Amino acid sequence: MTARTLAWLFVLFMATLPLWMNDQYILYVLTSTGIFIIAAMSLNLLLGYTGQLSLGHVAFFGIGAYTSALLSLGFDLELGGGEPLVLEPQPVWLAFLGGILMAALFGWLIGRLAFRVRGAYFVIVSVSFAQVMRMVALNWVDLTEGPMALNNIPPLTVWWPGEGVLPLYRKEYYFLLVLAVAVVSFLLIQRLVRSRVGRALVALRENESLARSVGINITRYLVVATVLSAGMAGAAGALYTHYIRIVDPDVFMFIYTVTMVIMVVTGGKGTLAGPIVGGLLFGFLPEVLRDVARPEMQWIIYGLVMIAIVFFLPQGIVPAVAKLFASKRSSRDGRTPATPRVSEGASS
Amino acid sequence: MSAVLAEPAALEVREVAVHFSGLIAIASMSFQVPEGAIVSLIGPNGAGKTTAFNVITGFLKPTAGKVLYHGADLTRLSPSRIAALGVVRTFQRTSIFGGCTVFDNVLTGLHQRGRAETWASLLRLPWVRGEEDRLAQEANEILAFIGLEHRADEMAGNLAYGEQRLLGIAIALAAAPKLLLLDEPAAGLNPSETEAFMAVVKRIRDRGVTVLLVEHDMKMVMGISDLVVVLNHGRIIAGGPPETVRNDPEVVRAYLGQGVKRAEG
Repeated sequence: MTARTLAWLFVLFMATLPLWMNDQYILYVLTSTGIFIIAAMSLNLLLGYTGQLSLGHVAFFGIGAYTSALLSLGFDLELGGGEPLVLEPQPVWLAFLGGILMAALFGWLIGRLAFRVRGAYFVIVSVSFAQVMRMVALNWVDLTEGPMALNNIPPLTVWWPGEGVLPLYRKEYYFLLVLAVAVVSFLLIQRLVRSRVGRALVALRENESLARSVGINITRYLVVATVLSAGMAGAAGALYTHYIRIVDPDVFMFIYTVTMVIMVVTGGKGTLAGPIVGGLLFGFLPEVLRDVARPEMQWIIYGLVMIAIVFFLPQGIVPAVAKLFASKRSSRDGRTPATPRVSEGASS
Repeated sequence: MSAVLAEPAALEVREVAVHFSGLIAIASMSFQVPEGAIVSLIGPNGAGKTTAFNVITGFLKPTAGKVLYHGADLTRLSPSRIAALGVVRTFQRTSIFGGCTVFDNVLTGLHQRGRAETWASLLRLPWVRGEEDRLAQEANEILAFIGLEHRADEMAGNLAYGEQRLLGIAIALAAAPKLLLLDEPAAGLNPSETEAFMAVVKRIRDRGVTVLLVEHDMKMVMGISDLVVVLNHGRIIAGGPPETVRNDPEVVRAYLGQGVKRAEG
């Protein structure tokens, strides 16, 4: 069985899940985990493939969430004198698209910046960027309601034959929607990293000087990666905001970025399946622990699991598993073990 | 000497100077690389050879002077633009993408031969597949030329040192150079590997590629160069065919008599 079949079986399994599983809570956890996996996949494009550590990734997620929420709710804004800027509530999918575009626009800005400040400086700039966004969300009360949060955000809709446009109130449907967006995101990233553009991104990670010397315009590809990554994170944020239906400045908290980084690094950065494996593990771990451990122990175990993975599998789970299979296969064939192509991952 | 110099110059380095905040790396350097020749730039450690390479390929802006490639000034261009003009280099230590397979290394080197940008790749337009097949074909040809086709699926970082040096050249060749700059390609190779390496460089020249070489291995330099340029303390002290340079008293002093010189200065 190839990795490809395995991946599609996994998708099929997930898609049929609402048919036979009635536990609404697990479905809720899966949906929010799925949203985070989309964000982690987008982070992986930057962290795993171009090698740029953005510790402000949640900013794109939050920008997508706020933009989509505001466009779907409408707003009126005093811009000092003259007519106030009034926006009527827009259709949710238009708002969703707006969220993606706004996040991508900020991604473009950060991408231009990343070219000027690299390494540790970029990490600091990206962290600050997310903090600034949080401050804006907190203090621009006219627009964002500040800490009072934006409420009653309309859910996303779907057009159904004979029924017309239906809002997605039911958890099952929203779960399927998140699954669909995740699959689309995965395929987009897969196509990108296995193309000429993807090779340019990896070249940037592996040996920047050499990449430039063979004619790769690293500025352009760094910006391309940041824009796509930000747009995808924005989509995840918009999914989140229309799912939870309330958004407050805490969406910009540093801990969310950390969660995404943990998902990517433990799963295997620079592999297609890594963020999914890491995301499922660390999305579900807190829920599993809730049943078996006392509250004060839960986060200690969480931390220990994380340390153990990073310590024993520094490349992440997916490359380690891929290596295991490769060496098994080659010992069966009686060949020398070949190192697997890390950039392709196991279940891709 | 005159026979080679009669060819038009592919590259002309004209009065290039490089100062690093007070430190003079290159005082004033002028030399020409004739089309289709193998030219070696030699000199003791710290003479400014790699600095010269960095200036020619756009990784470093010179304090003064010009680098003319077929008449066009390279000093204002970025490394990737210079590569697009056909001036491609290798690097002294790591000239490979260690975390990728050998095949992908060469495929990455072929970047300029492809056109597929972001949208075309995301939408996987029909012509993109054809382009990928064509690039894969070219990558295989280059690997065969350099003699690494049996290592295609190996991780580049796992190759033996000599093979990594060859791969570095394969990547540079993939970038379709008209002028290839090799920075100490034979460093760390054993005599038989060096021998094989010289043959590869000659075959590259025979394909019509002009080669500029920085090298310490005198046997290699004297064996394959049409011209040798000797750099010492940021200045050119001699230039010409290998046999002339070998007997130049100034060159002998630079390599053997640095103690005397330092005592005088």
